[in-house]
Amino acid sequence: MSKYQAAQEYLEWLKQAKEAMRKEQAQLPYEQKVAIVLQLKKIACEAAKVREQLKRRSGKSKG
Amino acid sequence: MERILQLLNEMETQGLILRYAIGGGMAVVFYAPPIMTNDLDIYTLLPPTNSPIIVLTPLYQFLITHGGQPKGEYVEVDGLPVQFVVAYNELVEEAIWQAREITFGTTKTRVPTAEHLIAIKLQAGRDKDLWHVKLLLEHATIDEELLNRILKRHGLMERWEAFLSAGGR
Repeated sequence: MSKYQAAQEYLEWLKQAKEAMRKEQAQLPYEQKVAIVLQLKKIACEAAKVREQLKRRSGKSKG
Repeated sequence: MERILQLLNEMETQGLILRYAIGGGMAVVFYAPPIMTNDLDIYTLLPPTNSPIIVLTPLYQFLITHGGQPKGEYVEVDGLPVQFVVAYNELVEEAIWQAREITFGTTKTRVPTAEHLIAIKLQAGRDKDLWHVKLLLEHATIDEELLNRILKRHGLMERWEAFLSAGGR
């Protein structure tokens, strides 16, 4: 099997695993799903903060 | 989020709002897997008034006096921005009146039916909304007759057909 084929198979497996996880998550109680949403939101906020810090630092180093 | 729902129920009891249902992405999550959403939209019917002007200040003020923090156009309660979306057409009004009663933790609340959510999202028509429609079709149990009746009643059949022919399903 070529590296390309192996990568394609892996990607296909990953896609299916993600799909299965989404289906499982859809069955969770609403409270648990909302808790996941809030967690996602928190992570997105943290990521935005880090991005902003990096942007400022890179701005300073250029100046 | 339960605290917010308790406050909303209290607002309903006090007559500040006539009736509400969870809306937007957070309502989609009831039927579908968790998705990223920034705020909690509350589809709201206000009590009848003689004034033609809609004033939302008492609603947000209620949240603030109960621990909410004003943040830009929202009030945050327990870290979750809350936005009141006053029923802006007959479809949203119908969705609020016919919303399903559910329990979150120990608190009673409501979410629109999946069929109404599909119609509302289809009507809004942004990329994000159409993605929500796809999620609902994929994960919720849809009563197709009911969906068709809602779509017809609110003049959305053309959009629905365009959505389907674009591979929406």
